[in-house]
Amino acid sequence: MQRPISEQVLMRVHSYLEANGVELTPELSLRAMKLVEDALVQPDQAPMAFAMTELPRQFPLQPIPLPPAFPPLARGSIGYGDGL
Amino acid sequence: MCLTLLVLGQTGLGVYVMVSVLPYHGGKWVEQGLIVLFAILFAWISVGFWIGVFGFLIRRLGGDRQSLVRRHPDSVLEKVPLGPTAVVMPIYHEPVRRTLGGLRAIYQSLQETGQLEHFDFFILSDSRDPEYWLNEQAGWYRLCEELKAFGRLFYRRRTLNMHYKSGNIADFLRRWGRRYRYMIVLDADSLMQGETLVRMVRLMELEPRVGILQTNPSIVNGKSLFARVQQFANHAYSPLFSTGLAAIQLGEAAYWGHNAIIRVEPFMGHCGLRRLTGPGVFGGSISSHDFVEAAYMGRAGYEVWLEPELAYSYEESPPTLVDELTRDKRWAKGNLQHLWLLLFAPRLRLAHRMAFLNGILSYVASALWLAFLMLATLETTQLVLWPINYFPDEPRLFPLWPEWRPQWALGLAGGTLFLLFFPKLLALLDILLSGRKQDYGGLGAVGRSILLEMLISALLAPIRMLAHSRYVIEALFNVTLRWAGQNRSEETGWLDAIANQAPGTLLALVWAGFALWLDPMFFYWSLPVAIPLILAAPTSVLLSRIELGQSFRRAGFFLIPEEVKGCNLLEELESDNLPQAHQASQSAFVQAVLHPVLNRVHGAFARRHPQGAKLKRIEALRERCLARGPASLNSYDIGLVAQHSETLEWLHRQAWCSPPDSPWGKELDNGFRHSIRHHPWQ
Repeated sequence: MQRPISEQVLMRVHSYLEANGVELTPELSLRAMKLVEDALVQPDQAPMAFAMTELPRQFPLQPIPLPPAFPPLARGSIGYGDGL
Repeated sequence: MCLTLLVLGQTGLGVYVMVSVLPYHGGKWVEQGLIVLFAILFAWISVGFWIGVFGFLIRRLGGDRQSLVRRHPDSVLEKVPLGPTAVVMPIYHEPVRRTLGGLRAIYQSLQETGQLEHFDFFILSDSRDPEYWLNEQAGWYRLCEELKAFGRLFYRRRTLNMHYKSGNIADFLRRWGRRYRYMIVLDADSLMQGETLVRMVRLMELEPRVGILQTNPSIVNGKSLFARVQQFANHAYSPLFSTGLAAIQLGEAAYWGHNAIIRVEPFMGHCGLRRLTGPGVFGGSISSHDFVEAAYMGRAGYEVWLEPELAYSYEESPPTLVDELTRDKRWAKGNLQHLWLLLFAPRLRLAHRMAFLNGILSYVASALWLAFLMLATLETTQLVLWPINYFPDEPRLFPLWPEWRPQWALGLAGGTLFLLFFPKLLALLDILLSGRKQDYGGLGAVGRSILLEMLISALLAPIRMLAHSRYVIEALFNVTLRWAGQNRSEETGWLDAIANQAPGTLLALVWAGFALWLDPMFFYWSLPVAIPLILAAPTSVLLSRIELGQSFRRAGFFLIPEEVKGCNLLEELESDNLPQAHQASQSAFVQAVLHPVLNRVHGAFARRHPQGAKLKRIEALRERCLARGPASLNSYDIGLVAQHSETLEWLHRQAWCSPPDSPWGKELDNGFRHSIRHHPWQ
């Protein structure tokens, strides 16, 4: 039997928060459920799309710092000696 | 000079006996051909013999006093400040977990020395398949997190793959080479202890004329029986041969392409590799670059040293015979190219030209051996089937009486076997005299292992001979070569083995059958070559088996010191300890789209603002991908999408908003949620 849409939206919200390293405290869990409630009652968008669009506005998603892929360039050239 | 005299003398004696053994003593063109081939092959074996003997004597006399390591006591070395050094690992479609696991072990080992601040690490990828390079990028990020290596561990992927591995390194040097005084080059399967890396840098600081310092890597981590035999042989015999080789070559040694340190400035100034301008195989990019770079470094006035006493330097063996032969196909062509440089490159040192010759003969010797067998068959056929010809070739006044000297023939065969196997017995003696037998499981274990290794290598030699002969001929006729990563993990299936070995097996059956019909003695002479070829398929399959390799290990065969005494570096490679880039049940592309952090990581590597037709194509692909799921794109399309940062970000937002019954909704609600639960990010 398919899960109700409320449960699906809530699980999606939880997954996104977990993937961003957010620990679901009781306060944040309640905020997630409020977001799901708002998604279900609003008439304009599909509940899933609404919830996931609103989520970044309502939760503290700190961007995780990324390491630099490479150091500053120090350009040089390759010499060939007396090559052929 | 001493080696030359010994080899020439021994070869001269061998040729004299060979001429005496031949019925017409070289009076026919067939016999002259046999004598020439015999002379080359005998000299080739003789060189190896004397290098082994020299190595044994030097080790017994306390080591090579000329070696770089012995010039500087530890009390001096440890005070030498370190110059900035890049540790580079060029990769191409390598198993990501193993590659990054090895890099992690090296990094942590270096960290324990307290000298990490002088080193930067670079993963230099040439991977084309997006499943590989997305995995690499994700794995790199995770490793940076785990090791806290931000700003010390870097990743670069070339989008234009020119000139193979040497082009990869050259690209790195053009961008960042001037930041570093030294560069340590690793392969994807390399392992080196931190203390060894530090020691190498210090030696380079104290020896400004050294351009390249090459360690003698030991083979480890062998799981299949084939890999375990190779690694045992490497551990048992290599100390002798590398010591002898290093003592002979001194500052004119070869560079093997990995597990070595290079002085960056002269390398950049003198070791660029131009495309060759000769015909066929002698034109195009140089694929076996290492020997050439050593030769150019020598030409520029710098020294290239092999240092067997720099310990804790490791690599892995190909896991199966098929993988080894696949690699050899590449190397055969690469080494044959060196003939052009051997003959025409100006101002190379003689030692480096000899190194080219040695590399060429590594493969051409197989073709010469095959030619020898063919001529021997022709000679026997003529002697048996045709009436005796007292005037075989040119007109002569007196008849030529053929003579048969079977005792001399047996003596010659015995002498050849002595040259081949005696150094292995010397290696066993060296192990016993230096008190290392317990490192191999004890006297009985090491003795049994050496005997079994000799048997297996005798089984493999004709198989390699036939394969290498084919590669030489293919290279001379310039069949197109593909550069590919080596398979380091899979076993050989029966169908693959039979398909690969069928031509050699059939040839051996026909030849042995013909020999049996021709002459019983010739049949018996053919058996040491024919039997291994007939058994090639089962040999290949059984040697590839991991469980068989482990059974032999448990029975005490082919043990090596790192297994008996333990090795920290190797423990890091146990499969449970290897780093995980992402959950294996989902593709790297799916994770790149869905995972918020990985999406940003890949987005940072990707490009922005493609124009025109390319942008239109990417936009069409992303719509298709969103509507029909990741399986609707092929590998090339995934590469296009994953290299465009805005598309990655767009797909990420759209996928998370997609309904539960959509393709991306299913990916999210099933596989992705599971991966988050079982492989939490933090």
